[in-house]
Amino acid sequence: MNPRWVFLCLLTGFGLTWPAYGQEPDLRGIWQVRNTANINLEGHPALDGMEASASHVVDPEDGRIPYLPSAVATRDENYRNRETADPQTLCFQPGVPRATYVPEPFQIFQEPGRVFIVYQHVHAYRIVYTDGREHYDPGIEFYMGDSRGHWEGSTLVVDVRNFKEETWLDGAGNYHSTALRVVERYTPTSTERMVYEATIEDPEVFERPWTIRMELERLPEPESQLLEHECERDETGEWRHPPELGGPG
Amino acid sequence: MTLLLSSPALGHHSFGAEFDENMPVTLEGTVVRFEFMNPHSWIHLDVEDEDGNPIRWAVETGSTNALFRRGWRKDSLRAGDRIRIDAFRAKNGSNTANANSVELPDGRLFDAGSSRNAN
Amino acid sequence: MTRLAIGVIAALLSFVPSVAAQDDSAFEPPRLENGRPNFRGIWMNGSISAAFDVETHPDAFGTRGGQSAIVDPPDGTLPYLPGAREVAQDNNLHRERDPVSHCHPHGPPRAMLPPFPMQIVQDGDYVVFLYETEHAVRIIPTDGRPHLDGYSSWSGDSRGRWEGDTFVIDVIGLNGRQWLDQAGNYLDANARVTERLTMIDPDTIEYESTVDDPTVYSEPWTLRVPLRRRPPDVELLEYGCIEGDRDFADVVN
Repeated sequence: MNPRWVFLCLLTGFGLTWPAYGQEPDLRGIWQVRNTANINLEGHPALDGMEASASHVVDPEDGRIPYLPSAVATRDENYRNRETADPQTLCFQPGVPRATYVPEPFQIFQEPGRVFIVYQHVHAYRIVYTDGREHYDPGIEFYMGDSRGHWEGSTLVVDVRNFKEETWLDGAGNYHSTALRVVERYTPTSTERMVYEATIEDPEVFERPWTIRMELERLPEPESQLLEHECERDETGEWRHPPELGGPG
Repeated sequence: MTLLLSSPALGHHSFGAEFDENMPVTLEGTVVRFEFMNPHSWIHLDVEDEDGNPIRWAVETGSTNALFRRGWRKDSLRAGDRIRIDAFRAKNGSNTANANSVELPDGRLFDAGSSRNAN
Repeated sequence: MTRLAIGVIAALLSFVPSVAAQDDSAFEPPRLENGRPNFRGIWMNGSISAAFDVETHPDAFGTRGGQSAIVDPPDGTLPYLPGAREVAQDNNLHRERDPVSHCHPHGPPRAMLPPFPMQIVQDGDYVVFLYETEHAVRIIPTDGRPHLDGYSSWSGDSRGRWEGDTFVIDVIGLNGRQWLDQAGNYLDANARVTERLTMIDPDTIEYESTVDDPTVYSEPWTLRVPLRRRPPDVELLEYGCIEGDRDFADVVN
């Protein structure tokens, strides 16, 4: 047989059998933020032994969340009552984007047509459908929303809708309505780092869409593993986080 | 649309402990509130006694997930809807019951979450 | 002479089994690129009666009856130690204590039993069970890493491996508060659970679970249920539970 044909056959066969993993960007692994966005997206002064933090809001440029004037009073009241009113204190699922920056890891798995994000925090999870299927109808609502995504180069873009309103965006009382829509962008920048952006839109609460950006770090495997974060009811019947994961001691 | 059911409602835990198969009740009344949630959804309705006074009942149905797959939505029942519920009363005799089926004024019968079927 | 030879040969050949016949006793599963059986998809227990009681039990109010799901011991009875069945019977009289009715994860093996779907995810060295109920999760590495030390949890600490086309999971680290079913059968924190999943046809995974718990049972015992593939239009739905959890008494008031 002509050696040239042999060579071409081998090359073609090699190309046809190249693993599918090589064709889709790889976000797999265990990730975590190293910031205090969960306390306040707009940043905060030094407190309780924690360093000060700048705002994580990159648009608008002044770092302030662009509330509708009519919506600010609710945020302020949330802030005043945050120690008892934060749904996270009651072990609610964290919602999106807050799930990304709770101070606990999450793990990403991928299959054709799906990206799975499993959060250690109260073992919430999201299934991101990347096969082009439609969102649920409006009026069908989930704490973690409904996620449909697609790839743009090496970035996973996730469109999240169908939210219940009973989650906050952080522990400072920043909140949303059921009209919330979040567009997330996950972009690996190295084998150890990923940039996370989320554009938040809610015409009932904010004057315009606004965007946060932060960095995620990969945790090494196999040393790292998600642990079970399961709440318990206390003697008054309220759900509380375990003490080793931020609950009352 | 009729989704008939003759089987008890499902939590994915037992409700036989709380409700009595020997105390079936038929409740005709006006919806006050419908809570679409887990582990159970709740229908709060006012049922009129002989003197026309509204008596408040709380009726438990299956989980949101079970109901959703049977066509229920959070606005399937609205305040003011006249409905009829076949249910089993709580053993402690309170005005609480576990729903078998829910009938709307237009005749539609809603399965309240069967233990016999998949969810 | 030739006709005789043909006749003899024909007679002999009629006794030879057809070499073209396949051995169809072992199902050949669809495979991932790494050669492992492809379990990906949405599945659900096909023997729902086991969720109510793993032993043989009749239909009753709020309960679906059925034959025992226990295949070993062969009589289908849980081999309780003396005094242990009384604990289960007390649970049965206090079903309001069922941890699942209070939004806690089922834990294996009960996690496989409820009539709600689960998704099996396979990605590289990981097999993941996403359960709809309580949005419980079990992440199972297959890279040979050791168990965690001193772990205590509702869903256990799982380590997986393949034995041929059977996925075997070793589970320790259960907190001992799990029930096995709605009837109050139970295990304690000494339990070691070994699960085996084998695809036996395109839409069925045979699930076996052996519970070895020497402080509750006199010997290890095994249950078996089929997991059936759900239709293609089924998606897992979020199961918020804690968010809406209230005491029965609170609802009335």
